[in-house]
Amino acid sequence: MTDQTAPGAEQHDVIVVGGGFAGSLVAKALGDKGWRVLVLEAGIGSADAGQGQQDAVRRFHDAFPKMPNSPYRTTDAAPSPDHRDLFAPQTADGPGGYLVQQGNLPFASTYLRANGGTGLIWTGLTPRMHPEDFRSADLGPGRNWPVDYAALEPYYRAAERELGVAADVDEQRVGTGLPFPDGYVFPMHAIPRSHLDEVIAAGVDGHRIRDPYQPDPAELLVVGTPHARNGVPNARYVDDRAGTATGFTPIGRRCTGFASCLPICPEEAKYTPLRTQSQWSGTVTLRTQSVVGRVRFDSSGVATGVEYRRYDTESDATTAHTATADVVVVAAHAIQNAVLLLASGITDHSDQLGRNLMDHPVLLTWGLLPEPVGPYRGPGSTSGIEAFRFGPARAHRAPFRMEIGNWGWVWADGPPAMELDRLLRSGNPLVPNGRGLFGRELRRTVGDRVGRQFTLQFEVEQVADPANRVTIDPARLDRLGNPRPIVHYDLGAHVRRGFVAAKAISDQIFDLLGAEDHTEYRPGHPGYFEYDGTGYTFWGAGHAAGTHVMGDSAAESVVDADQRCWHHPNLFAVGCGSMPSLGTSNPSLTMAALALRSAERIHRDLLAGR
Amino acid sequence: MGDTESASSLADFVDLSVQLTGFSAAELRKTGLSQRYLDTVLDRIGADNYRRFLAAFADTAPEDVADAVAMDIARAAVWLWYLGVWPELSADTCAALGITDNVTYTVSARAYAEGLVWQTIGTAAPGTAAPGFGSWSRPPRPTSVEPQNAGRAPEGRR
Repeated sequence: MTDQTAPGAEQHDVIVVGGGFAGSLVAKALGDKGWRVLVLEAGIGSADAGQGQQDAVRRFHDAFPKMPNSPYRTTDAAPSPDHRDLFAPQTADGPGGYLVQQGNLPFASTYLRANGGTGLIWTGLTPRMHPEDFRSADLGPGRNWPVDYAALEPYYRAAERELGVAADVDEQRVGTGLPFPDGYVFPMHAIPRSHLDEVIAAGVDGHRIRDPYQPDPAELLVVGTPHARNGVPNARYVDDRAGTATGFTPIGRRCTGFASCLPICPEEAKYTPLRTQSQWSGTVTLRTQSVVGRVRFDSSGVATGVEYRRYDTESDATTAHTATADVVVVAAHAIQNAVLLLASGITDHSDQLGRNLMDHPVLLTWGLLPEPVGPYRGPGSTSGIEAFRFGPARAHRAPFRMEIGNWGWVWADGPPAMELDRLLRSGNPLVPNGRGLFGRELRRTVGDRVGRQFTLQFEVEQVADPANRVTIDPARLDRLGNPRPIVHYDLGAHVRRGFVAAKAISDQIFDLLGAEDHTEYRPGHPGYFEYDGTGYTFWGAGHAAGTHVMGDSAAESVVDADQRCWHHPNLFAVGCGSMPSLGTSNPSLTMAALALRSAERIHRDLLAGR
Repeated sequence: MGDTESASSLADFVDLSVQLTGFSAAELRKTGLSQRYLDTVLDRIGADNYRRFLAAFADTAPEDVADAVAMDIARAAVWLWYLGVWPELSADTCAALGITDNVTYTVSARAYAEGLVWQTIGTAAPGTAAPGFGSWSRPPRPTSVEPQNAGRAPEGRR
């Protein structure tokens, strides 16, 4: 239930800070067991979910340019970073915007503080991490996990059920080498490939190409990606809790191809945390527009509750509140979790809180295929190439996952408006006359050039580096008096070599496809950097992680394998911030698996405390 | 303004828009936005400037129009039809036309949905229509510039 009034201090079993991906799952798991959970969400939500969705879709239609946050209401009471901040004029704080950027390179990813969080915007891709990814330090630079793939595997299956994942297990086994239990099938059959996937597969499958950091050539294969997106239910799906083939009943409609998943799925075929929230039991209370500023502790380090401020969207008025609980869970995003825990002054003997900030820096390459492929149809990416995610080369260069981008050049260049405007100003680039194109020639040329657009998106692993970190400063506060994240970020040599390899692989793929390469990296772009005399550009995938890293001991990590703070037995920090490595997979499925596992630990702790 | 005058001014606008966009008058009218777009242009630049704009294109191929301000407005008109968006104009154009609130904006949610750029690649404006589960697996629909004649194959596509 949504509770818009705050009667002052109140007692719950659990307080969850953040109504996003991890927080909503933890609240559901605990609420289902009957615990009284208060979810405090800093951002704005809608009392009427249906109306909220309609309004958000409408805002998306009206927006120009269409940015990831366009559908959603944001607030300076709980600010969110915006992509345009990176291009804003420099100030003493670095580029303008909510994040104070003090690193050699800007942290390029954003996140959304609204009910549902960044999980409203995400693309919906749910690959698992690979067993190797849990042992980065054994294979190259980076950190190891205190749990392994085998220990997490049951929670991956639970997460795939909770989110509703569509994939073909045989294709995943063959394409990624991931171990799945015998007889396992995903809840839904694989989302159909795009026509572009087929064109690329026809051009590259079976071909061997050279990775400059690997002695043996790699064989290319286009492999479908798992999605948390409604497809055709698999009748052979076995719900672990039932034990027999029960099939799967999706919640929400089946994907019919609105092609706007990022930032909003009008038919709610893409999983968002709002779907989990709609299933909350009656013992879970959501309070939005509630910004938690501090976790409170007693003298022995036990968390007693939180302080938060509520704000009005019509005026600048705010009110101060406290809430108490037996367990406090911070689930506010990797960067906001770090800010909150730093502001709360938690005990951390490892000096790792805020450190090891990671992302997937992305190399984009883009061009025109010989024939029209029909971009801007279906989900943003349906397949990719897995061949560079694993293997001994990761000792020398960061590994990466290649996604095939179905939506033209929208990420690197912009929507078709960009190509239209270029043609209007400069004419056909094949016959430049500087006079501009109109009429039938314009129509034909726009259709031809946009119709042949494609992008390759290389998500490069960035290992944990303690020098990449989030800090806070009492002199840099937002309107409510909460600290702004101060970000120190750079791309190390290992990552940069990953970009070198990705570009080399891209060049060979373009050759195999007979594609015209239109990739251009310009000094002056905020993500521009050089390695070995060659210029590249990175974009942020939106995968912030590492800032409250989990580990084997309090000496070298902030939380244990259950995401529990070492020095505060009833304080949990959940989310991608706990991850010691990202691997090369979009992290949301792993975040969900970890959240479900932590919820089990919290439940046991609450029972023991009774 | 009398009915005859407003009807002919809409017809003039649509005729010029056919020249600029490469879509037929029927295709433009089918968007249901002809009057709305004309109203947008008039609202943005005023009636006098609009008449000068029409005159600049009266007997000249669009690519050959020398007047930079008229070209800027022509590009804005194409943005309206192709994207449903009125774009910012150049600083010189704003100075020449006395425009003080230079801003890019979507005319309406419907205008976004009716943007013709998406027709050129055979799909709908993202987030506005759902062609069906698996539709993205099919090759793109053939698009042709000339109005379809029954029995005549679309140019150049399988």
